[in-house]
Amino acid sequence: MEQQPIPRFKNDPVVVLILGIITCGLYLIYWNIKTAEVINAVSGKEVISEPIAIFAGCCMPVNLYFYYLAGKEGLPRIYERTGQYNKDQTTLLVVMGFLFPVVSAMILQGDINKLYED
Amino acid sequence: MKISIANTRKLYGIAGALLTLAIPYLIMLNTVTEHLEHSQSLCPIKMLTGFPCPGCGITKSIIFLYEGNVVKSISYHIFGPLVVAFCLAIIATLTTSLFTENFYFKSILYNKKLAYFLAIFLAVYHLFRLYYFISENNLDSILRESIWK
Repeated sequence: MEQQPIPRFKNDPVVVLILGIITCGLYLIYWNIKTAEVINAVSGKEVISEPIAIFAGCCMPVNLYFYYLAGKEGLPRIYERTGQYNKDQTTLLVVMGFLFPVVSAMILQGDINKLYED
Repeated sequence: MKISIANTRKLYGIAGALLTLAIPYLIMLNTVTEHLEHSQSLCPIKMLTGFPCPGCGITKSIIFLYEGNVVKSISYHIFGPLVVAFCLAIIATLTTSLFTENFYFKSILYNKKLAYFLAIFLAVYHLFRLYYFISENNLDSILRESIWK
């Protein structure tokens, strides 16, 4: 897969929390799709398929799989691109994804935002 | 024997799909259906706000599908039968891919148009569900669905 431009998806993590709660989780499905797009573009390959991103918004085990993929394959590529220390966040994302999915989304959003810092 | 990252990813995918199918089955074996219909949801959004999230009702929908009650299954969540079909497709595709190294149905599983169609369908369905939920419940009964009352 050729290198594609990274779609802009910059949000304050607190906005993700508020919109996630106000829309009763509906925003998190949109957030899953956009995050999958960003991670796929940064990785240069299809790490997370969009249909999986949708079902992740409905089913807990699929959601955990989504955060596993994001932590294991997506975040290292983001850290690489932003020049950050490459730490493995997979366990944190999966555990928080089980207890409070919106918190995992906030953590991921915080790292994605660093892609757009000048 | 060292398992490659790609195969680890497939194994976790299979595990996630199996869990999605197995959890409702285990609940069905250990719970009386009447109790299930009135039990407290474990969804973090429902516990926090009292309102259902887009995925609320899928577990119950799958349980009723397992019991053969398709109408009740769809009444709990229209995506219930679809999730079962999706998980079975994932298990079959990833297992085959583990042994043959060929990834079948890639055009469907990575289809962006299909994803957006599903997302819009789910969003519209959820908005209708929220409308009916609000029109059929008063503030007191909505709060009773949460952990606050």
